Amino acid sequence: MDNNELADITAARRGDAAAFSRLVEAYERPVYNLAYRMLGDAHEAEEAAQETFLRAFTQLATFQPSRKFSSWILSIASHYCIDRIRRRRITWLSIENEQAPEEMLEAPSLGPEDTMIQDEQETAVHKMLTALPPDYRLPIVLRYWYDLSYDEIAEATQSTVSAVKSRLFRARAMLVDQAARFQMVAAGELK
Amino acid sequence: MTDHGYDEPMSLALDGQLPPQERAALDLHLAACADCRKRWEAFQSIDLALSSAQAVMPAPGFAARVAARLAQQQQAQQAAQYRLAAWLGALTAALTAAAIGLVPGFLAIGQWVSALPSRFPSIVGNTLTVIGHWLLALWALGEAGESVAGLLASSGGPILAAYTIVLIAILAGWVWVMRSVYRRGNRIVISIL
Repeated sequence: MDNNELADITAARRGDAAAFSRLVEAYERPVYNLAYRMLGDAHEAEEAAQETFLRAFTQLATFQPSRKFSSWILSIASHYCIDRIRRRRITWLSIENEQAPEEMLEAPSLGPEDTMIQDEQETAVHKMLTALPPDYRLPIVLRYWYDLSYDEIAEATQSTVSAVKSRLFRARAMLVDQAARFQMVAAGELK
Repeated sequence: MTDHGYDEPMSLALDGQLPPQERAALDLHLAACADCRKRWEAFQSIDLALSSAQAVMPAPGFAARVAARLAQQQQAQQAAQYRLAAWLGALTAALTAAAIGLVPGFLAIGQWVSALPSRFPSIVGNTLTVIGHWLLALWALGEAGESVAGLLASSGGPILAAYTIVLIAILAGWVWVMRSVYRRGNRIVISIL
């Protein structure tokens, strides 16, 4: 953690709104992305990301400077998203109806063809993730988008390293099986 | 695609967490098993798709929206604190007024009730008898108050001083709570609640 960030955290703890806004600006992307990957909906992700920062502000006094601020805030976002998914009792959306918020993707200076390929890949990733149960989706998101180690994922999800390993391999196996099933459906071998 | 029990080693291998000996065993198996080779390729394909997916950004102005919600939340908290302070103040004032007014109030009522029959001998009839019973109860309370007042008066300093100190302490407590609420913001609500 750099000194500026620590200074902002200290100031935000005292109620400095400007310092807290700087923290929001620094972490809005990872928090929003996590919420979006977990919830699969841009509006819900916006709401969840805002709520994450509001909770972070009220819980700043509990933040230990020995921890990484990014891990701490991602942990808050993870718990909030899991709770939110459980509250809505997981309505599995039809994959055909799923739409990724293409206009919000960071895609600087890509040509139309590249953009189309990227959109297709994004849609495919979106479909894969939304088909996973939330407890399996979270370690995948933390592993691939945040490059967290097994220890860090365990800390963020309040789990154990062996549970993280297990969930990662099961999630990957589910994704592989799901992809195989889609291919069979596409080939007309399965309905 | 069949899982021959190599899903976990494959997953660990993707993360670079598979020990060298186990990695060698996996490679050996993959060289011999076409099903597992196909599955390993599928694992790698999923890994590539996820690794190359980009982060999604919030709509512009996100920090400003969070700041606006935070300000709104703080205003609501402050309003709740003021309401709490007002209730505490009203309660303290009511208790203080009751404490101050109890003894002389009952004393006055008792004297007034005891003088009724002599003031209105011709009017006091059957109707007033019933009311009189109720008033007598109040009179009894007044007598009790008078006794307390007498005790305070006769004891002189100590009890009267203690009574005054208690009242001052209640008032000082109220003033302290009010000042804390206005100075320390939302923390007082947490500590009180």
